[in-house]
Amino acid sequence: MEQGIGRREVIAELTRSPHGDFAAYLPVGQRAARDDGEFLAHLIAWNHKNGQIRDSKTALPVVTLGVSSFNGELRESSLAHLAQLSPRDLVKAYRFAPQAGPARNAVRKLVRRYLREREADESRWEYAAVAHRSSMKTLYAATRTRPAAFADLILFKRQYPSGSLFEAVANLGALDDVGAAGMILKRKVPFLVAKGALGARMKSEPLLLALIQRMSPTELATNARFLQKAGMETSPALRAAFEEAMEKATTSKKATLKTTKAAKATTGKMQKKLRALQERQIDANAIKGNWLVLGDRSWSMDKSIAISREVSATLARYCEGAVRLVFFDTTPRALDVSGKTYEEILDLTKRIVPNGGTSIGCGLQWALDRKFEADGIAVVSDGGENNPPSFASVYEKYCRQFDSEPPVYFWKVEGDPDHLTPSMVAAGHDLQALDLCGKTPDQYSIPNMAQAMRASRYSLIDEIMETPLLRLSDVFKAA
Amino acid sequence: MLDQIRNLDVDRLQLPEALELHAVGSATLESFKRFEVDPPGWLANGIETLEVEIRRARRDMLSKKLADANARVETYKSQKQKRMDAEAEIARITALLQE
Repeated sequence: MEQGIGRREVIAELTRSPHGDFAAYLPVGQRAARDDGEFLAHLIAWNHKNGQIRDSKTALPVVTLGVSSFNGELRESSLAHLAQLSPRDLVKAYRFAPQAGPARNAVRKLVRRYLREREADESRWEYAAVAHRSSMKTLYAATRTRPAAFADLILFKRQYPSGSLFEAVANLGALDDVGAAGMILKRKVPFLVAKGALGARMKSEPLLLALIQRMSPTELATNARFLQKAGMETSPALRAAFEEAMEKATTSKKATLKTTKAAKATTGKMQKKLRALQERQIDANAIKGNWLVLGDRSWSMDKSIAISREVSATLARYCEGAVRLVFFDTTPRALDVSGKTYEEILDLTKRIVPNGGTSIGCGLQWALDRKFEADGIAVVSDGGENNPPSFASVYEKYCRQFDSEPPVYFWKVEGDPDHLTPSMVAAGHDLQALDLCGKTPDQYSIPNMAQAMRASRYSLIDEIMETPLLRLSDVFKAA
Repeated sequence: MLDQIRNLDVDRLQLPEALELHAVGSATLESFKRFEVDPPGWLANGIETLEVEIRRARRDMLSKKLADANARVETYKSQKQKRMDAEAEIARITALLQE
């Protein structure tokens, strides 16, 4: 597998995020585990820290366990990353394991060690069991692990020791609002558990105050509209709690997409605050440089037009520099979309419809004529060039003009035969392909894939390879 | 940062940012005074708006801390104390009903 292109393909598959379909990770994951195991191991580690798609954090390590050549420290790192999953995700990993080949035994042994590790620290076990009761029961039952005496009493016999977190949660309903709020704060009851115990009562001010302080950044974004409707903006204490929680959410990489959705769902001051939070989160994940997006609008390229809008909107949000969107058939139609939202781009391009022949080079020629120096180029097309100038020929001139070689990301959609890739290869230029043929990316995939683009060809790969592998001793501290 | 004061939108600010802007704005205003140059109107207006917002945020924070403290105190009350509180509440409401 040629290093540069092969690794890009693996990253592209990872960021494509087929929701809930772990099996979709098998083909590329198994191939990568066999052909470039070291890279895949580091990618798993990088994804665990930086990735926004939870499914991939569960599926990829399991996929590697079914490949016999993926062994030693690489295998250990996969197991260690599985051991960092929540009980809920570990159940999913266990159920997926049979599809990945001979992986089930390894996952079963890991689950047993995971349960024993938690039992060694009762308060840690208790917290996991309160938040994930059903999953913890499944883990014990599915792996036929005999629970410790206290775990058996709590999980399977529902006998809660006096003073335990379980007892506190069970009694929440019997306390008045202020008492229940105090208990939630004192015992650090997880938000979802408290919400389940309180039901409709959670709208009272003392309880909302406690619950806001127990929300993760993602939960805060998801419940923003509910909080606004519950009158959060009119209560000084609730306002302060919300603002404090938003400060903590500023550095969250996980909540960015949820914050975007929350900002759309709310109004007024709340919406302003969420949009400001979104911008701070984006600043933390900014893509460097100026970007050029070339969108194919030739005959039957509806999908290309839609994806071009999304890619350029993502770049416009995350990019530190300027973003130009150039739709082309045999002539270019260029727009400055720097700083624009997806809705604004949709409005600007609503009259772009597929028609005409294909000259990808004319889009780049526009940038050359306007002296727009791009640090990265995204081409969304089927690659079926049938009119001059060709992209490869203009790219040569472009590189000479600016004395640089901006990376080219080819977002390939289905359509005519691809002439772009062979012509670029023949000219000796690299192309990073993101294959979308026959696939329908969801609302998270395209921003995810776009964020993985870099102005420097190998900087993401360097970043991935620098992420250290984990050992089981890093995760399991008990003897 | 002065641009942020010129185009101030307090709804988008977090408290640390507001404090930072206030510090920069106040120091800038002092410089104008020191050199006896008339400061731009937006600078004084911006500082005043920031002060109002900072005081508002501080009051909100204190309200939150008070509510949190009351909630935590509740968890330390004995059963006897809680019973006494409930009986006092019953007496209070009974008195109100008899008015």
